[in-house]
Amino acid sequence: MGVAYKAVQWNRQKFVYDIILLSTVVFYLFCFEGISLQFSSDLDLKGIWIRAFGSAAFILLHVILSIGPLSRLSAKFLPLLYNRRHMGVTMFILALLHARDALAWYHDFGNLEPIVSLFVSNTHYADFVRFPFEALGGVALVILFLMAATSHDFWLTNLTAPVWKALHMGVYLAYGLLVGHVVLGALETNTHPFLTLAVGVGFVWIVGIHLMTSLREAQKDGAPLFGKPAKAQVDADGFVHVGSVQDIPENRAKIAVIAGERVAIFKYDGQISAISNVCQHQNGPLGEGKVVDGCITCPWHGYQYLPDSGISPPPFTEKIPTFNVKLQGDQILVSAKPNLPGTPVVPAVIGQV
Amino acid sequence: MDSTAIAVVEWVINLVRAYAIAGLIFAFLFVTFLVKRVDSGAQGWALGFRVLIIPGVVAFWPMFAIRLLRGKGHPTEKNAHRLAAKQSAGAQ
Ligand code: HEM
Ligand code: HEM
Ligand code: FES
Repeated sequence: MGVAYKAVQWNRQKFVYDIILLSTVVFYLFCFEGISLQFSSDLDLKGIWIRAFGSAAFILLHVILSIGPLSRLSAKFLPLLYNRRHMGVTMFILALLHARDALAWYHDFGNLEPIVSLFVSNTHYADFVRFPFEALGGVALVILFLMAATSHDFWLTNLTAPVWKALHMGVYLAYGLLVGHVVLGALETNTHPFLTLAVGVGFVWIVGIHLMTSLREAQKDGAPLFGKPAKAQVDADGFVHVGSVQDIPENRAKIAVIAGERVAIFKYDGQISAISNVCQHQNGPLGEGKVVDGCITCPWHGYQYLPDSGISPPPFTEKIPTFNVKLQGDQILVSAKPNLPGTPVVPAVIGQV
Repeated sequence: MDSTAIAVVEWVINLVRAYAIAGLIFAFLFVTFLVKRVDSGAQGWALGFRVLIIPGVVAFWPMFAIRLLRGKGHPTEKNAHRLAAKQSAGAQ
């Protein structure tokens, strides 16, 4: 947590994950080469590798985009979520190899530099079918580069998590551009219609699971999918009813939306404390974590916070906003206004009046 | 393809190149001497870490240059709760 950066914080699980990822990619590439040669031996080897790298990157992008929604549907996918970063970097490297070979292959004949020729050799920018699909791939590659280059935790701290996340939302733009790149590219180079069909299936899958999970999330928050969410009922003292002590299992939290964001209300050691649900690391959902060794522990990468102050235990220095809490019988009341990050709050003691 | 369009594309690409070369020079200075000033998490030599951030520094170098000139460290994030907490603390 936040102390002394390293290149990669290796552990056994990450190591196994890396080996599986890398060997799957290498296996795919060689299978692609072998099968292509089998079917049409007149194909140039260079051309085959362009397609092998491109398709490997595109398939891996589908896996990456599926992890987020899948881990919302089932906790089984969480380990993939923690390690998504490395898949991203791997996919960027594959895409880079594809682009490098394609540029060398298709644009190395004229008297223009390959990179200039990429944008000017086909100028049918107003024509759908003859649209210069390579330019779409080029823009996507720039986005993927920015994401891969900022994948270290250093960038989370220095760009701040919301900016970093906004940048990573660019992956959806990149995905859209790449769907165009592949479909138009296939139309122009007269590839088998199977490719277009496969891209269509992939597209329906990605949009489908995203819609499904966002519907479920909205239901959980009690908010409509469109329009403003219903405002929490604030009483005269500025507190919000969030439910009963019995709703919360020991060392776990209940999540409520207050002040425009989720709040995690934890029950531990016969007490109740409330802190902002947003982890300072990558904005993981603290309310889905547990109290471990007296600390709220983020389910994503294990950052910890003291429940009654929102401060990470020393030597760490992260601080998140806290909320005043009180009890009326077994009913929990949480202040509608957050306290400054790291403000100590007296926990509400269960059973005390 | 007419020659003006080619000239424009070449000009833009040269601009990007100049930005990247300036960024590369800045990045080497930054990772060897200056990172610690914006982020106390950069401790010791940690060679792997310093090399890993170079591509990103090449892309975002003006941000760090401005931060260093102003003598500022990295910012903390803003979100709904942090903003609301600041607002109500300021109001008291
Ligand atoms: C500067 C960037 C890029 C250039 C110049 C480029 C160029 C090309 C070319 C010329 C083709 C047609 C190949 C053929 O059918 O023989 C192609 C296809 C393809 N590209 Fe790219 N591309 C770029 C970026 C990307 C990126 C970032 C991806 C990322 C995933 C990608 C994925 C694909 C895929 C999946 C195909 C279809 C492969 C196939 O025909 O089997 N491309 N690209
Ligand atoms: C240029 C290539 C790569 C870069 C820049 C890179 C960068 C990073 C960074 C910055 C981290 C976070 C360090 C931390 O744990 O705090 C990380 C972690 C990790 N890397 Fe990489 N990586 C690269 C390649 C790979 C590859 C190819 C794999 C696997 C095939 C991989 C697997 C992992 C794993 C499993 C983690 C732990 C993830 C986590 O829990 O956050 N890395 N990598
Ligand atoms: S988001 Fe990484 S630990 Fe919370």
